[in-house]
Amino acid sequence: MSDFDEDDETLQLYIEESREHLESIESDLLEIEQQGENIDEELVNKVFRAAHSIKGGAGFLGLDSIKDLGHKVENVLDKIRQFELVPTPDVVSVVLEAFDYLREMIDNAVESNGYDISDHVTRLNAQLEGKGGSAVTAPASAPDPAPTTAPDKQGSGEPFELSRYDLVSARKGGKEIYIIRYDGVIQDPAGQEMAVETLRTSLEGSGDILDMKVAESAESDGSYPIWFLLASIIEHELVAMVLGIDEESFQWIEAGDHSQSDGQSAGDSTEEDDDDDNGLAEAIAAASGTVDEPQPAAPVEKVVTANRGSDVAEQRVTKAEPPPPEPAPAPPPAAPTAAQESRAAPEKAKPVPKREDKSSVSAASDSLRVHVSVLDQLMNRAGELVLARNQLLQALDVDDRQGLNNAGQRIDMVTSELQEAIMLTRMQPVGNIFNKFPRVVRELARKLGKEIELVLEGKDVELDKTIIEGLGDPLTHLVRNSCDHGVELPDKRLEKGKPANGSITLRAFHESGQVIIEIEDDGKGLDGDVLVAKAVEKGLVTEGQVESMSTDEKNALILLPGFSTAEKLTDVSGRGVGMDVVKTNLDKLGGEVELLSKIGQGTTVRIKLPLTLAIIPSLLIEGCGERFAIPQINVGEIIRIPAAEVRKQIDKVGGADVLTLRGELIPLLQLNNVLGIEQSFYNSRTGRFERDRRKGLADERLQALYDQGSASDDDDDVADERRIEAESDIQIIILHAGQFRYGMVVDKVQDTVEIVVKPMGRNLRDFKIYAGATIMGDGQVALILDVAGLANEAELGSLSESDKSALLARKTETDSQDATHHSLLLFRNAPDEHCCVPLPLVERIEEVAATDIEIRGGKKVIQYRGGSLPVYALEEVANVEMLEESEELAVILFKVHGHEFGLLAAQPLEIIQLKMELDESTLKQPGISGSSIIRDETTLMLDVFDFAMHLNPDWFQNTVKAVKAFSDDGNIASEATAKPYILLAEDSRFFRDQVRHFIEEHGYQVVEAEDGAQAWEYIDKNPKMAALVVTDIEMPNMNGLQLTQKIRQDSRFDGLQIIALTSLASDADVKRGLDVGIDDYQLKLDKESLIRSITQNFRAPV
Amino acid sequence: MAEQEKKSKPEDQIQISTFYLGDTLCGIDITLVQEINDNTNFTGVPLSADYIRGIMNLRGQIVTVIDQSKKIGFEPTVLTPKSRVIIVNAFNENTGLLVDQIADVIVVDRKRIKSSPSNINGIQGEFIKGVVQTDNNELVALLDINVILKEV
Repeated sequence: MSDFDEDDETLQLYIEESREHLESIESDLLEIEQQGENIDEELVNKVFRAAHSIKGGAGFLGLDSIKDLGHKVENVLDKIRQFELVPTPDVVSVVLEAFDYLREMIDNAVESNGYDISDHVTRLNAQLEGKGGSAVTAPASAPDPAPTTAPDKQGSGEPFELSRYDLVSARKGGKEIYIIRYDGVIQDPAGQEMAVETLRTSLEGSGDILDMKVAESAESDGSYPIWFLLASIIEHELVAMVLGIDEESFQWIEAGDHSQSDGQSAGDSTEEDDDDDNGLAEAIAAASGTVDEPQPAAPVEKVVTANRGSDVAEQRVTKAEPPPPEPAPAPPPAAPTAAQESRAAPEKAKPVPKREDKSSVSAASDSLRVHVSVLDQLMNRAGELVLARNQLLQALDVDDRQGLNNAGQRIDMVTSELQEAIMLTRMQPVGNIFNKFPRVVRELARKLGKEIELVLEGKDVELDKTIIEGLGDPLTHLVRNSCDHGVELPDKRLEKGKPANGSITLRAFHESGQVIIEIEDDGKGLDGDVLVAKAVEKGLVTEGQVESMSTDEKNALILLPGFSTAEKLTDVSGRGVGMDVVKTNLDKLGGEVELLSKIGQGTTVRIKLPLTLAIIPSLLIEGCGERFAIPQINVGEIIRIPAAEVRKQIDKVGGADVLTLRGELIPLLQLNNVLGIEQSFYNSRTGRFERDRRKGLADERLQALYDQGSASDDDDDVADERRIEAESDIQIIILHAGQFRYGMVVDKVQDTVEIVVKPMGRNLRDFKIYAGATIMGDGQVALILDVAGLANEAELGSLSESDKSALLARKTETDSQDATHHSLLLFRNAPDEHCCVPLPLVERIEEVAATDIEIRGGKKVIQYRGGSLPVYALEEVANVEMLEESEELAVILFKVHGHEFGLLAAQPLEIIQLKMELDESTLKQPGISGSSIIRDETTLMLDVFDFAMHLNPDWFQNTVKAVKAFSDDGNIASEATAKPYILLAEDSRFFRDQVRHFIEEHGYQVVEAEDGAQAWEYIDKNPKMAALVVTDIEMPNMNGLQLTQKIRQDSRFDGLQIIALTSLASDADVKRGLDVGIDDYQLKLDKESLIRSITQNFRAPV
Repeated sequence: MAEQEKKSKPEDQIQISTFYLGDTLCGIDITLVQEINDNTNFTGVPLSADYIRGIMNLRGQIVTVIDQSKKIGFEPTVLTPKSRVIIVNAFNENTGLLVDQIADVIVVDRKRIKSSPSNINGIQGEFIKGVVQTDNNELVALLDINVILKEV
């Protein structure tokens, strides 16, 4: 029976360490299994030693069941090591299960002696006997699982407690430790200090008093016994004589005495005598109890236990009144009796490599290992911070403005570095969780009758501790899914021409400041249509919705709540809960899930994770005077709706406000309503937020319009005010979290900042609408909103489908089928000169003061992100009026051929969506590609590429010039170069130019054609070098579909990919296109996506 | 025995930090008090219980501030320049208690603490641990912090 309660530090240390051993054992065993007969001795040794340490520690702590089972496992491993037993899957399974049971017992160490290990022992014995010939080691009877009673702990009073460090140092110089009892000295514990003092002094002459205790209760004779813990060089045989006490009155604490189980392990060690130094080490370990403690001297150079030093591990020396029968069983052969040897033990034990696998920290452990170099770095930064503080204080003292600036900058820098260094201490390798999967996959594969190979990549990639901990479950689920639903049975795989054994790859890597984890299998892949059918059947989506879905969107259906694809429930995965749970869990970690799948080829689940959760970029918003932070990861976009436009863009459906955004309906929440604060709006006349009497956004505004005549004057003013002022525009933040996607109406959008998440008090911690709080730069506290929690709080349901489709229909009916919808950025140059530019071409928009514009070398530049950005006014190229003079200007940033530049424009800017009919002749001039009537104003369309070309022709020097399929005189161009070319067919010159520039920017040769007929003629004449066709659908003479058909009917163009350009394609259109052989659809001005598609599909002719 | 009563030993005495909630003099054991803060700049927590006045920044730590008056059944505290926040440590965390005004620290004999009547000046009996009379013959209601913060 163990003497230890759960708080005991020794026990905790043992448990922690054993868990670490168990972590690495699993993957090692699986590797051993794979190697079969050709075992890697070092690897087996490693597992052996781990089992050995577990056993040794258990022996020391009196955890007999653990010790016995550990011993059996060790025997089997020993056989494997001696080449007497082949590690077949069966053998390994038994060993793995035994380790599992060990783990369970260790987790429950205090009660572990009550566990029945006979089953495992029998099976281990069977392996030993069955394969290994005569059982050399197995004892005739299975070890008794019943707890052995500890012989000590009979003394009254509490034991002396002594830290190991103290114990070891007390023994220095060959001292022995004794507990000495005096009876009858003290009659009244309150008084008589003198008697005790006399005793003390006399004892101090003989050694060092480590501790003393007086009994709490009196003996029968009314005296209180007193105990001293004494370290003395007097040999135990002489103690009684020297001190003049009875033999019974003292107890000798032998170097190994506190381990009650040495007797047993000593008995065992007879079988292990051939274990050479391992056996010896173990004997010492069990005897001295030191081997399982990390010795400060050895591993600390590299690794430091972060939360507690190992030397505080406590050892208890129990007062036993009649000293235990001294040499109880035969003392272990190697057990040292002299103190010197006990001190030597740690050195001898060192070969047992305890810290070999330093990365494997249990995922849920409370302690953390940090590399000393990281701590050093931290220390350095802290030092720098102190210096910076001194600098700051000094500057404050003498009121030195320049000094303050310097100190401020320095503190800023040091703080960021400090933050980075601290982050490093929390980072752990994903290997910690990856390592458990070989086992999971192996077991599943065996159970399912599949052959699956698991490949682990990027085990060293590090993530924040909290994320690592939260990642275990979702990953297990995903891996199980891949095994169960992904990889097919071997015969099915062979049928399909795949190798019989499937493979699953678990991969981690960094990408743009995030960590990506991919689970890739080469199984059957997701069948979008099956998913669709399921989703429709379960009422998760309507058929109408499905029609316009892309393959990826269909695959993403699996993430919807309440969706499980398992055709039958297996115990491997699927209980009606599935991927949605994974998604929810990952959302909590700030992760995103993406599914990439091809039928028959496999599925890749891609998880994007932030590096840490402690410091997150956030958007600050304001609602009724309070500031709130929203994690940036939940923020999709910010929309400002001018008050006058509210009616157009916001509708009321079934009592809820709904925003129509690019043809999609998004439910709206008003932050103030959800939080129970009165709705307010900014009244620019009073400069304050005022109570808003509206309840909804859409219909009430409408009413305000109708009511204008009848309402009081005051109301009218307010209503007008609201419509005119930009400040009272409605600010909507589009948020997404889990299955929720909604718009939130807020009073004000402030800024993006990095915030430190602080936990809230116990009382507010369960509040689902707040994710915590943070402290702002001014010392004020701001709450962090939980986007999913808010949606729940507001009982945000999805719109009923009929409402949705009705509304969508209403929205779209005005638009003709082939209308070209585009997002345009509207801006002004001169007061009445309206201009626009396609939004996808805009990199960024910055606001600058007119005074920020500097003239350098005859060019206008502004400071931008630490560099100088050239800025131009439109009139520098185009024949337009002068830019309006104003203090506040906007700079629209473009990037052309890798060069960034800004265009100056007058505020305000506006983004609109509309179908655009471009007049490409009337107002065409340099930098301007034409004009369009937008909101009854003639608006000039900026041609970004042409504009840049006029300003900086040299940017374009290295690009390949486009070839026109037809020269201006109508003759077909000859194949200008021998380079592979991309044939671009598009009738609108504006779009042709834009798209051509995108493509050229990436170094491709482009041949332009004004319609399908021209395109065909050219490709027909120059078939050899055609590498890709990019075509518009609607064109005169021959449209894109006809062109595709012609190409597809010609065997010369086998394998040539065709990308269609559209504006808004309906599902039916896409289907028609796919039927004739179009490979991909791309939106006309979606630059990035188009280029990606081009890169993927570009196929240089051989 | 008689001697002992005269010179009351230090361990029999208790220091009480007193303060006003409305016009009522209340007190808590001083060992619970971490500090008294005059920062009454709270950030409201919408939708939280009505006696939660808000949260504040205590040197980088977020501390919940309880409106004690509201909690024990008085009118909500109106902030004045005399308003203070007593930071107490209970349930392993710091919590702020909003009071109208800080009064003296008094030292009283444990024996002089009387069990509480069911209701003092409208304070629910459950919140009161006992009542003690000061040397100025003022009655101090000793509040039971554990009850006040219990379901908070």
